[in-house]
Amino acid sequence: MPETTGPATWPGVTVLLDPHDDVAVTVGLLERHDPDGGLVVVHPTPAVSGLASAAHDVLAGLGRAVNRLTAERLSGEHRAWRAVEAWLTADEIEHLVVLRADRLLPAVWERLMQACHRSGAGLLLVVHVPVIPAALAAVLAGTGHRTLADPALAHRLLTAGQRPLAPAVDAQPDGVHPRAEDRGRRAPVLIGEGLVSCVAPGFGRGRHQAGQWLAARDQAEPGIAAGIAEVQLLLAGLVQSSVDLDGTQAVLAGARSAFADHGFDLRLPGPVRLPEPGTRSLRGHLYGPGLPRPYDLLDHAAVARIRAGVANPVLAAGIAAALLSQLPTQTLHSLPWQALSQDERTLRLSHFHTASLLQPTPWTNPDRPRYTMVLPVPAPARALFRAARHFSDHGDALPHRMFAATRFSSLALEAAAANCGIRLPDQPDMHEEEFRTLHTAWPARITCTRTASNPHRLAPAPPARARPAMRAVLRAVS
Amino acid sequence: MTTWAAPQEREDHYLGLPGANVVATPALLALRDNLADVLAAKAMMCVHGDAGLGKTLSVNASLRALAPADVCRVQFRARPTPRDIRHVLFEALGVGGCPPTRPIEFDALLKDVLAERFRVLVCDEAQWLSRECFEFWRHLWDDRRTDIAIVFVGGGDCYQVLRREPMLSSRVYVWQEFRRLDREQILSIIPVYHPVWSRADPDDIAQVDAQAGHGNFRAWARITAHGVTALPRMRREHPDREVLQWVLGQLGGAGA
Repeated sequence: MPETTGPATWPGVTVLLDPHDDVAVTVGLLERHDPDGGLVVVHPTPAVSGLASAAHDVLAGLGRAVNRLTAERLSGEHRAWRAVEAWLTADEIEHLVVLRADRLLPAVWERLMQACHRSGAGLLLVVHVPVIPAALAAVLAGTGHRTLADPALAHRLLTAGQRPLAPAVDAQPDGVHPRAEDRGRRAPVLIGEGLVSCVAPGFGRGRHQAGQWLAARDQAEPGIAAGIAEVQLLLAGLVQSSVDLDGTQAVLAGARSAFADHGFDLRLPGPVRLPEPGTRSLRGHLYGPGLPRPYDLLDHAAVARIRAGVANPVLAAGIAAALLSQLPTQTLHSLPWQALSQDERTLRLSHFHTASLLQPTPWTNPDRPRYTMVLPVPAPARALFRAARHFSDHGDALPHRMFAATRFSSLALEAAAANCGIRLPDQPDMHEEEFRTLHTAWPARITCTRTASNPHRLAPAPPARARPAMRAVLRAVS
Repeated sequence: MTTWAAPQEREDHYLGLPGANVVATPALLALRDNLADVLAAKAMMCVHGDAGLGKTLSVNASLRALAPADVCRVQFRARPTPRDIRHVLFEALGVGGCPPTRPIEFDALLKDVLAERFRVLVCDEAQWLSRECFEFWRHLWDDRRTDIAIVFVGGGDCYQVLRREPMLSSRVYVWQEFRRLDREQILSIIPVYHPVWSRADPDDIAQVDAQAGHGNFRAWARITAHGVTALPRMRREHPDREVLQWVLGQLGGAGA
């Protein structure tokens, strides 16, 4: 087996002999196919051979789309296997079962073992012949593989490692309606200042959850005020699955009430203009989590569509980032890996004025305000970012930009999203003066101030001080 | 190779013989029962036997009665490859657009189409298929989403070819062999097979079968076609010894 860097507790390779090519063995294993439960059964395409084809078969087994492999730059074996390893790792696959393994090439056996070793998945090769072929035996030498002749033992082996199913749908909080079609047009209102009844659906939940969060924070770090990023994360998380303005307002009003109880004056920006029906643009609108939008919400259903419609992890993460941030693709192009937390739970977007980039350049003016929005990444979408990280990190180091590992353009992302049936945020014309940036994202504009008893103000962080070298560049440019 | 969606009953007969009837031979009746079981089980079946014994006609006639809207037939005249089968199925299933270039993409498309509703795939001349081709059929059938039954029809060494493949041995639900009709069957079947023979002397029919028919429907279709030509030409109402001599002469002697 080639050099590997996988986990020490790798379950290893098992070979199941099916000497009579019994239909019960094949169909029985195919019925166990359950990617959500960590068990993937690969049914190789007949009459093709080669490393790239084998990788595409595994991608298909993982549930990824294989109808745009060239467009997604996954037609070559190297990138296709990187995608396989990325998805195996990100989806935490426990067992990879490969049927008709006796018909595969030795190079494919080796690559399968390598991918499974690196991702920590156990590999079950099903050979439909009485004895292990000599070529396979040679590849297996030294791997400590097991050989099973009884399919029942194989089923027991697979059952032992399988994890329980995750809940299939998002639990919708009270008063929050995720369907964009449900919303009606209204006159401009303020997101934070509207009149909200304390008995409105969602108010109680917002107040309760914000109160719990503040109490827990007080207990953990008494006397230390929360950073504005933490407050953004809390509020965005409270309303993330909502696209109904009434529901969002009620939840945020409840949260404001809880903050007031703890001695904080939480202020939210406004007003909100709702987009015209049929429009794809949010230009000039206040936008952010919980507000109506003319495109998809990053929920369970959208993530499932992304998984079924894209095989390239970077494009999958790009679609997720576009839906989550609601920013145009061309803005996301500069998103650095540092924006994503190590556990993929948060995405921190900072807007720098120069050319609307999400990372500073030598020409970034450190004295101009920087807008930052921290968003919670919904649980089902984290695996997409995790897969993109694995795909991008091939040995040496991650590239600086999150989407540098593939061709990442508006057109590429739009085409990938269309294959998933996903509507992306609009792509503004760069020649226009005004287009959507973090200026108009409501979480980036909230403030939180201690009331008179403790006048400590939580506000967007001051601009980072530029390094001397950068200052020199700025002076030269000016 | 060819595909055809729904052959007319007359087209089932060799030479498209006008006036020929589909006769409920014991083999056809058994086939209809077997096909009903195979369709119910969504299984695989193999119908084999020498050429001209009525396998294809019996399968077509039975499926016309059992599942007229669900049948997709493919036939190969030379040794096909899995690529050929993919393209023939693409055409036979009426999938729109251009066929995908990658096998994995092609198979995914075919499986999507075959998952839409139940279909019976009839693969005629299955003796021409290679191991890779059988692997392809198995792949489609084993897939969890596809909703299909597969009927292999083949002459010559079809049985030996399919039996050699363990993947099919464990999957074929029914093996049915078609055999030559014996003398008794010929005497009861041929008079109802075509009006030409309805008033023929049984001894004459038996002699023609011994000399040229050999219990083979395809041979009898040829004999009958010549008989249909001979009767008006020789101003006869029904075939007599003289007519039969002429017919046998047309067939190249055969002891005439």
